[in-house]
Amino acid sequence: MTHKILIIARTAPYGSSLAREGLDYVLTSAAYDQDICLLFIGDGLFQLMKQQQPQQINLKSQIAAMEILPLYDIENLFAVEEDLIERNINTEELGMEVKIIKRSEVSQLIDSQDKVLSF
Amino acid sequence: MTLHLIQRSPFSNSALQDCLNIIDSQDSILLMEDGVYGLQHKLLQQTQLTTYALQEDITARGLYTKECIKKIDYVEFVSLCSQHKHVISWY
Repeated sequence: MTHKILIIARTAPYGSSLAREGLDYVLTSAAYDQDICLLFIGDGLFQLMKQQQPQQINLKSQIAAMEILPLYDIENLFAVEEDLIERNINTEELGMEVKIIKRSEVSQLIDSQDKVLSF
Repeated sequence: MTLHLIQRSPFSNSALQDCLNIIDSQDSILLMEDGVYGLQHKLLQQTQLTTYALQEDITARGLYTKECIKKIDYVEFVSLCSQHKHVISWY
């Protein structure tokens, strides 16, 4: 049975393993034909930085791993505008195509889902 | 309608702030584990949201609740979860 699942990514990529675990969850669920969308808020937006080079600290690239999302038909990626502004991030600096939404629109997005998880 | 479980202290983690940034006025908050340190934080003194806190976690940490916070036990926690469409953990 297909569920609509929203993953909220709210942690930066390399300080903890949460971001990676969230992505693992996303790919596993997609393999089971679940309808996944991703919402980046807070420090989770740093997962999207195009210029990441974590080889420098001997870690695998979060953004490179996310590039396979379209192959899993995961195309609904959202980022919160106020949090981008707060972190001084321009949309040109992002390595993925995301839809920009406002904080006030998030509760509507949550409401439209069957399951919601945060990482 | 969503129940938000806050599980980290707002003094050292952005869980509560991140949640408040996107929360709907119809949603509820439950403070649990180190999230109950939120009782001491000004973020929650400003909010009009329905707020619960787990009695066991408050007592364990020697904290007091303000009147506007509803204290609940684990049985009430379970029924609260079943009354909401979504339950989101913030940690």
